[in-house]
Amino acid sequence: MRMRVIGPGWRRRHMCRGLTLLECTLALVIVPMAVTAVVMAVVAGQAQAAESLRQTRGAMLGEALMEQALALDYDEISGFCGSFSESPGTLKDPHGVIYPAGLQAFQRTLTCTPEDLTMTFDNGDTFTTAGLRITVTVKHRDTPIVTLRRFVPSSE
Amino acid sequence: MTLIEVLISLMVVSLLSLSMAAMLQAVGYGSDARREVRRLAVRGQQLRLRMDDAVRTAAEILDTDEKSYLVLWRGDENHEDANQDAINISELQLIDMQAGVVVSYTVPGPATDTVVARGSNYRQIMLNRNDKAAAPWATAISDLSIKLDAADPAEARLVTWRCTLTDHQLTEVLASSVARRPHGAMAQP
Repeated sequence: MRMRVIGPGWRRRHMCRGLTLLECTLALVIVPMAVTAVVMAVVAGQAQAAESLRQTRGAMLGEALMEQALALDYDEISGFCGSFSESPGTLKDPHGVIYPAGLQAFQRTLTCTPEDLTMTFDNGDTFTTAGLRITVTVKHRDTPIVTLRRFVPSSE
Repeated sequence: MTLIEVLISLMVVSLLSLSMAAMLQAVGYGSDARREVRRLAVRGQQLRLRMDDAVRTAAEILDTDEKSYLVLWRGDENHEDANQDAINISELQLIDMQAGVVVSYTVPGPATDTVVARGSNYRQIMLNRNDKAAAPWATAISDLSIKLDAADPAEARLVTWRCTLTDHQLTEVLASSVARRPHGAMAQP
């Protein structure tokens, strides 16, 4: 086995050499890249959390509007759908009370279309009933967040 | 190394340390449990689903003071006995908020079941029962408000409610409406 004898001359030549320009440049590239990667991961996590909250709020508003429509008599639903549209900043609950500021960035639309729904049973028999298809769409900055659909059979 | 080189290296190391510290602080801030938005959203969703389920399946809304409680008749569950169509205490559900906690109370039947006369103080009758079952639905709730779409609770179909949910340093206002199902709307097939 070869052994290196470290003497005063070696120390002078190697220990005090410091970092070369290439090493410094590499360090200056790697460190910001690592920092950027970590920061981007954190920012992405924050954005996802904000998005989940937005989705939850959108679903809550959509469900509330759908429930408002479902509480009406069948004959009243069409009239309600035809007159309903809310833009950001004007969202109100069924009693006309404006929603909190955190929910005002959304817009809600409600449409009703007559539809015949056919159901097929396990034995192959079919049953068709007329009714209304209610569709609630909630958007956030023109991006659809939630779409809910319900079929309400006619009362006849 | 000269003194200049030492000073420059100290400055560079200090700058790098500062940037690392700032980054770690940002990471710590972002992942702080006290600012956990997801937990707030889940807690809100949980309360909303519980409230929705209770009201949707209720046969009738019996009482509310519009700020702290809601009494539901879950339906006539004892068709065969003499109390058919009567409101039994085992058929009631009280959703009550006290000291920031929303609790659902029910009374098990039928061994100790009793008929409750219409117009009674349903809430007090429920709270006085020693055998009631309490299910906490949500904590750290404030500013609960409950509104019905009819002056007479028995005729109400739609329950609109709001509350403020707090989770450490975050608050979220929940505002929802839920209807009893008068005409059997079906979910999207």
